[in-house]
Order: sequence, then structure tokens, then C-alpha cells
Amino acid sequence: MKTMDDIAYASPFRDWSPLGKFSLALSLLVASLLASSIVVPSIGLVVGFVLLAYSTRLRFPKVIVIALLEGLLIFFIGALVIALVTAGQPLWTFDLWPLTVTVSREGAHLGLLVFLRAVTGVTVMLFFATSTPLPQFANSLRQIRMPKEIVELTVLIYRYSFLLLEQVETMYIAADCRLGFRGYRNKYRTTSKMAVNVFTRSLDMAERSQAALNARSYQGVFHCYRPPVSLSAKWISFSLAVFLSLYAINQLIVDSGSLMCLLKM
Amino acid sequence: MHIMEGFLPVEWALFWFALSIPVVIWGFVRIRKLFAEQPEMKMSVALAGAFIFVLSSLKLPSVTGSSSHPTGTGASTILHGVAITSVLATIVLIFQALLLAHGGITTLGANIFSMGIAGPLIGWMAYKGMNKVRMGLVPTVFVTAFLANLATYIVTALQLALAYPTDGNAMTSFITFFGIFAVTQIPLAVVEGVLFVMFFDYLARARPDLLKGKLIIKDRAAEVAGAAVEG
Repeated sequence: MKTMDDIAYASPFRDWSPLGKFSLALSLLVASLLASSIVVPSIGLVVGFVLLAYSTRLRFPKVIVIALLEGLLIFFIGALVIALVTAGQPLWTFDLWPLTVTVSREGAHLGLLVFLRAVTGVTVMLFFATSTPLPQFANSLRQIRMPKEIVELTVLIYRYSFLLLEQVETMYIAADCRLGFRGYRNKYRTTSKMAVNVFTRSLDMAERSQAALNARSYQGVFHCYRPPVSLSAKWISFSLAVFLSLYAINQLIVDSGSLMCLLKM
Repeated sequence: MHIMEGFLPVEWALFWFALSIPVVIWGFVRIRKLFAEQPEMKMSVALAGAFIFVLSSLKLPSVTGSSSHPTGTGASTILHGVAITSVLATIVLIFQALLLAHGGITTLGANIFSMGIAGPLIGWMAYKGMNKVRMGLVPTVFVTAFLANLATYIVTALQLALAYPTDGNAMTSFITFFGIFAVTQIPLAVVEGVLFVMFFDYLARARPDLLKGKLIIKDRAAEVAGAAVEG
């Protein structure tokens, strides 16, 4: 989490409008979801990967590689199940006694499409996450009139997560040194003790934070003195153009497929 | 287990958003009212959210060899109720989607519904029912956390089955999805139940004031004093 935060603060895209980047990411995601051809998610994947590579300055930290690999495995299993449950013209049949598993042509296509959509989605969202510090994104939500309580709660949860994670790390090392994770029984016992300690410490931390804020004349609002760049009409038009182009490409491919079928007839 | 980015068609993604948003708004209204009446609660609620997020980073071994993490919604339901849990789950799911590539933005509505609404609601019903018949801490917490976790996965399997029905039949698809996920998810629901029984047991000893009126806790000090008098 800290690595992601560091990458986001060092990204060359950091000063771009967070909502602008979000609308671009969303247009790529929605265009991929609406597509019936694998070409559109593939284009989205290439665009997302180039942006991600540039955002991380072509240095993929271990955390991103692990996230991508873990994601790929989950996507593969999910897409495989979707391929298996989709009925249609049989393509492959596997005799796994006592079961016979059949993958249909439609199932294989849908499974591949979903897999590509998922990989595109993660790549595009990683581009957004590695180029936008989360507090910046939360503060930019004020521009679309998101209630201030939600914005502040989001920023506070984010900030406090770092403090709690630091404590968890310390507790983990201390427990590990005392063989606290040896065997299942010890592992559960230590984990639950750690959870209680983190919880009670978080309550103490809340009380101390409140006292510190009161001492600094806290009136119930956290002011943001350097608001992030706002969402401009340019960003909206650009995102819309990207979406419409991808949608048009999909329609062209689908129509040309139908045209080919008609010509064959 | 969350539905990953790109796994739901647009119409289903919108449908789950439409179902989740009213509950999250209700939760937000509750939080706003709470903050207006008790401004000092802002820090406590924020730290409860941070706690859920941190808790989800604690990896646990599963019987099938994989590892997973607690959802934390069962515990949050007991401590804060369904409405506030839904808002906290929404924020945590956004963090997980953006920072851990776990879940997604287009599937956020579906994940909020399964992890932030359905799971806590089933857990809350079990918790209220068992508290009414004055069950002890151990069975109440175990059943609440177990059901909250299991309901999350049943709803997730249902969401996928509705999006990808087998030959138009969502039930066949549901059995396939749930059958595959059950191998890891049922043991994980048991593990989460056990973990939170230990959690609340330690919490009842360390800070019994936090559970006052929420769970039936044996007065250990009185028991020890009684035993000493008898002895």
C-alpha cells in the first residue's frame, strides 16, 4: 500500500486532473464491457499498459507484478468457469471420469472475452492508482458535490490505515520472533490477538486524535488549501471521444462479421 | 472473494449499483446524523473503517491450501450495525480495487451488495435472533461471522450465475459457481467464525465496556470473586 502511494506521488501524471484520469479509465472500462469482439478489450489493454508503463516510468515494482499475476490466476479460473457454464456448439470434450466436461464454441469465446476485459480493467485501474494519490482523488470528489463527510471519512480511513498497518507490521515481527505463527492453532490465536490489539489501539488513537484536533480549534471540517486540478470540458470530450471510437470499432467488426456471413450465403 | 473488474456485463453492473446505492445512502444519512450529534465519533468511525481495511490484509491459511483474509463485516455489524457497515465496506472496497487490484470499479455495486449489504444483513439477523434468546458470546459471534461470510459468497455466486446463465437457466449456473467456490469458501467462513470468536473473547476481557449491551458476556471478575469466596 505504501509502495502504491509512493509510486502515485512520483508519477509524471500526478498533476493531471484526477477526475479526468478517472473518466478516461472509466471510458476504456465501459467500452470493453460493451464490446462483443475481443479487439476492443485488446486495444484497451494496450492503451492501459502504455499508460501504466509510463506512469511507473517503466519500472514495475514487485507489488504491481504480484497484483497482476495474482489477478491473472483469478481471472483464468473465473473465465474457465464461465466457459464451462455457457451452452452452445461443442468445441472440446474432456472425459474426466465420472464427469464429461464440454467446452462450447460460444463458451470459449465468452471466456476469452471476459478474461481480456478483466485484464484490461486491472491494467487501466492500476494506471489510475499509480498516477493518482488517493487523498487527491478524494478531494477532487468535492468538485462533483460529493458530501464532505464522505470525502473526509475516505481521507481519514486512508491516513489511519497507514498508522494501523505500521503497528500490524511491528506486532507481526514481534509475534513471529516468538514463534507465534507456528502451526494452525498458534496462527489463529496470534492473528486474533493482533486484531484485538489493533482494534483497541485504534480506539486509543481515535481519542488522542480528537483531543489533538480540538486543541487546534477543529470545527468539524478539514480544509484543503491546494485542491487538485478540476475536471475540464477537454477531459470529458476526450474520454467521450475514446469511448465512441472504441464503440464504433466494435460495431464495425460486428457488422463486417454479419456482412461476411451474408456474402457467404 | 470479490467479483473482479470486467466480469459483469454493463446491465448487471448497473443493476447491482441501483440496488446498493439506496442502502449506502441510508448508511450515509445515519453517519451524517451521528457526526452531527457526536462530532467526536468521526475519528472512531474512520478508524473502524481503517481497521476493516487492515484486517483484510491479514492473510489466513485455508484448508484447501490457498490463503485468504477475513471480510470483517460480521464484526462490524455487531459493533456498528448494517447501515454504517455498508458505507465502511464501500470505502474499503474502493481502496481494495484501487490499491490492491482486488475487486473493481464497474463491479463495485455488486461487491457492495454482497459484502456490504447481504452479508451484514444476514449476520445482523442471526445476531439479533441469538441475542434475543440470550445465547452466549461464542455461539452468537461464530454464527454471525460465519453467516455474514457465507452469505457474501452465496450472493457473489448468484450474481455471477445471473450474469452467465447456462442455456438461460441461472440455477444450473449457480450450482456450478457455488460448487466451485464452496471448496474454499465454506472452510474460510468457518475460519472467520473461529477468528472472531477469539477476537470478541479477547475484546470482552480487554475492553468489556465496548461490548456492553451488544453481547451476553459472563462477568469473569464476579466469577473469580465468587470462586474465591466459596474457596
